[in-house]
Amino acid sequence: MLFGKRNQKDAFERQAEKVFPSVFGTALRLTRSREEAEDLAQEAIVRAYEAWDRFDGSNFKAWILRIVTNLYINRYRQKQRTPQLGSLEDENVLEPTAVDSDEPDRLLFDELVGAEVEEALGKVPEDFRLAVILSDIEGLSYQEIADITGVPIGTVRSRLARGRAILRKQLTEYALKEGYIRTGDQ
Amino acid sequence: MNDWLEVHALLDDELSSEERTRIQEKVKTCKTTQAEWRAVRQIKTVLSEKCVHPDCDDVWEACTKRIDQIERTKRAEAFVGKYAWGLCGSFCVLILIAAGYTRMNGGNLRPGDLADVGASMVSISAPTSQTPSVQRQWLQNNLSQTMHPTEQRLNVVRGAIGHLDDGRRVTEAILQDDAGQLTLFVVERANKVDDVEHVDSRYSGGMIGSKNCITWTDGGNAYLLAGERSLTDLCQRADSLLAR
Repeated sequence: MLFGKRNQKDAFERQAEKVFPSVFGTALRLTRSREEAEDLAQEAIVRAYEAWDRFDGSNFKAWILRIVTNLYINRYRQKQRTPQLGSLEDENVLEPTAVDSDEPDRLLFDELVGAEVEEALGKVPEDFRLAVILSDIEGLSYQEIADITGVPIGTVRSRLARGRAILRKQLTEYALKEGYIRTGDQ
Repeated sequence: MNDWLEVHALLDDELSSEERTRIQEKVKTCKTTQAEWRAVRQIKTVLSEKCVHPDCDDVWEACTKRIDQIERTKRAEAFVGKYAWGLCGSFCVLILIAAGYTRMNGGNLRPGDLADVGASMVSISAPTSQTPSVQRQWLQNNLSQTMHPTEQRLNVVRGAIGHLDDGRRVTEAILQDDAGQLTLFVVERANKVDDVEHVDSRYSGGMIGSKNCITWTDGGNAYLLAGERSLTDLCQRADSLLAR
């Protein structure tokens, strides 16, 4: 019995250690505060460990990211009590990610550094940001994102498209301001 | 589905093979769709290349410590839960053993305890004569074999027996000498007398009511000699009782 429990703990730690960078990265990109991200990630790991015997064994990363997301929604979002820009009403207001069909290939963001991209990502409204993080950084499928966020796949698609469009706009404005690209390039 | 959403789905590898072929064809032929495809690909590339996972070794270490802490708590709870009756039983047995030991070996005594016994004391017959041998015999029979009074003018006036609340027997003897009366108590199974201070290496001193008293222990019993006189005088009287 004791060895069984020890094996369970070891098995959990092995799995959790592999996905922990994703857990902490998602927590950090949601809270945008290292201190709060540490609390959120630790709490998520503890919750996951306590619920480990109820995990169905299919997709550990998606399962634990769902715990992170739910914890964030239940705790941090309520605590912040700040109005969420880009609410659900805006989800159906779709616009293209590209602003001009003649846009050349050389409008690239190669000059940007990670911190600048993270800064721009942080300005994307929360629901859209979460979809972008889970898809483009964590590489989850639409179905996994839908399971994690508890919304239909159609909503995931529109949130992703909207989130990417907002992020591109943010990055373009920043790149123009910093002189990484010229107005004429657009 | 909206064309833009399909372009996103194409780059996210979320289309069926037929849909993929159709959208890929559209990307080739439609400039607007092509621009959208490039823009989405750009964003995906930027995010995957620039947004690396932050360093979090220290946070993971903190997590493992919390897990260890949870495990320890669970183990302790499981142990207590499993052996609760055993632990309670052991404590009860321990308490009973301690109580029995205290009862067998006597406990502490406070001079104030004797004040409560007074009313329930039962008189016992006084010595039939004032001759020293009869007096000594009475003291040895009723109080202790250690009594060897050397003071010729110390007489036993009367005696009484009672019990403390915990059942220990108390014997009282009223003694008379030239300076007045003295009261000698003997309490069985008392190893230590509280609320008194050392007078010398043999005796401790304190008060019973308004009277001075000295105490000593011998053979598992406690002795208290009280009277309206100084502690030094009481010590001398005790010496004469014990032939020291």
